[in-house]
Amino acid sequence: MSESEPLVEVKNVTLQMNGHKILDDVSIEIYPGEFHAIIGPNGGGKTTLLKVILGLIKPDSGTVSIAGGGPGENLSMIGYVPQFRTYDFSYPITVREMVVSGRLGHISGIRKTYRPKDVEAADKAMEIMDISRYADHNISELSGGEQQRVMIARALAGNPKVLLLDEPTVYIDSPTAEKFFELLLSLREKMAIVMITHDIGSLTPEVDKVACLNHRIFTHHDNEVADDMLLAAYGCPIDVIGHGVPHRVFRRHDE
Amino acid sequence: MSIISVLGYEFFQNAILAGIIASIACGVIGSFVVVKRMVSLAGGISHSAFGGIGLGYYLGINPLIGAAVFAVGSAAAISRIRNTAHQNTDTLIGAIWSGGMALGILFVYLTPGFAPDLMSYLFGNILLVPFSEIVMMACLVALILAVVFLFYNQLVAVTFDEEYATLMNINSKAVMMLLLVLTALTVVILIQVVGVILVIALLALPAAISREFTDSISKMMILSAILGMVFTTGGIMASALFDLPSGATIIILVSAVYVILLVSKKIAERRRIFGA
Repeated sequence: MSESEPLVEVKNVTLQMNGHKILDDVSIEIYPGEFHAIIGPNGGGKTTLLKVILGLIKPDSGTVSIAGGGPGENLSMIGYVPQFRTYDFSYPITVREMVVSGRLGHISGIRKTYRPKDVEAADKAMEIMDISRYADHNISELSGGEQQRVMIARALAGNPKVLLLDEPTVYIDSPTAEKFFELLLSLREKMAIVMITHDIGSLTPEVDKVACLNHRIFTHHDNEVADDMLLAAYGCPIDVIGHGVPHRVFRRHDE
Repeated sequence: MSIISVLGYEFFQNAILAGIIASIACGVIGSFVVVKRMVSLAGGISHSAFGGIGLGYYLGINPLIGAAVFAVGSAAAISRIRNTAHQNTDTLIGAIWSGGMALGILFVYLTPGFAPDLMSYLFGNILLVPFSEIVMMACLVALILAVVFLFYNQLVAVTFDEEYATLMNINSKAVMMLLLVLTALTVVILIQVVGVILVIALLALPAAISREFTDSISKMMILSAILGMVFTTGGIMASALFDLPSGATIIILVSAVYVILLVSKKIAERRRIFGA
């Protein structure tokens, strides 16, 4: 695959649910090695867009293609980290069992028995996320931050080309968030990263592209969050939503 | 009657054997039912089976065959509607629950003459289970175990995280349908032991108890099967000793242990917090 071919190509996707337009003519392309942030207000369709990309929700019109494939093809190239707060961690499953389940997409047949290389991939993913010492612990015994790392390790176990993260910073405090971004950046050599968040303050200057999604999508081929874009997406002045440390995102805007 | 003398009777040995066989299905499927939070769904399936029992009487066939047809049918219906209208699952379970019971009552009313074993289908009478039905139970359990063995990784993936399992190229809807049908078959086995009305407790409580002591679902299954054997055997012995109805005795035993466990857990928690 050449560098010019997008890993994920969303083209003119429109989706209605219960009579409301959730996504309106949304297009976005993700290329290898990119770090995308999709921001927007709660209820703006961010999670829905991720689910459309993942093939969990079929759009009314428009297409989604992963690495040039048709609908539902090449899904194993995507690593998905669902929203943390909607997750049930009371299931009797160990960290290792949960992480290795990220390999299931690569295993065919009814029994889907894990092969040695699946276990190896899981071990490596746990090492990257620094949770190897919890491998045999029940997931309910871990702290919130550790549980989140387990979810990312599960996505990494499948050796994805694109990592999709849904609100990854919600339960992380600032110092941990910095470490978290360092980790994401270290993964970037191997995969494109797409992060959705409603919190502009959580963005870092290393983000390549920022898109605003509020049913319609507004993109700049830059990492700056332009005033017009925000105004269009949020329909309200920037400082209301740009809490936290927005200057980190806006810095290059003045240059 | 002492335990030793009672052990010599064939009907008593059969009862214990039936309890042990049923406990295996109970431990394996009950664990999935508990972790997937579908206990009330299983209750709906078991009560709907009474409609099939009534139909069996009406048509003059083995009521258990009717029960199996109704249980599997309602499992399939629930899983279909579950996929289309999420909000209504709860109400739907209610409809299937009492609708099935009502049908059963109607069929029994329409059947001329007297329905002799009606009470044992409602509340179970393991002491009356003939050996031929124990063989049928064993075959059903073997079938359930074989299917779970084949689909184990898929069943775990889907009960843990349905959406993620779909991404992992697993047909989650089909696997859920399979699990519901397996639950229906388990219910049919358990009707022999404790009857339609008491099935849910025997299906869910041993699994819920063993969950407190295990960290993976495979261990949970094994422990809850063992617990099920202890509870059914203990209940049968107690019912013989004190001349009590067997199904109710088993359920009271398992419920009591569950409640004691919950209460002692709460007390332990308070002690830890308040340092008493």
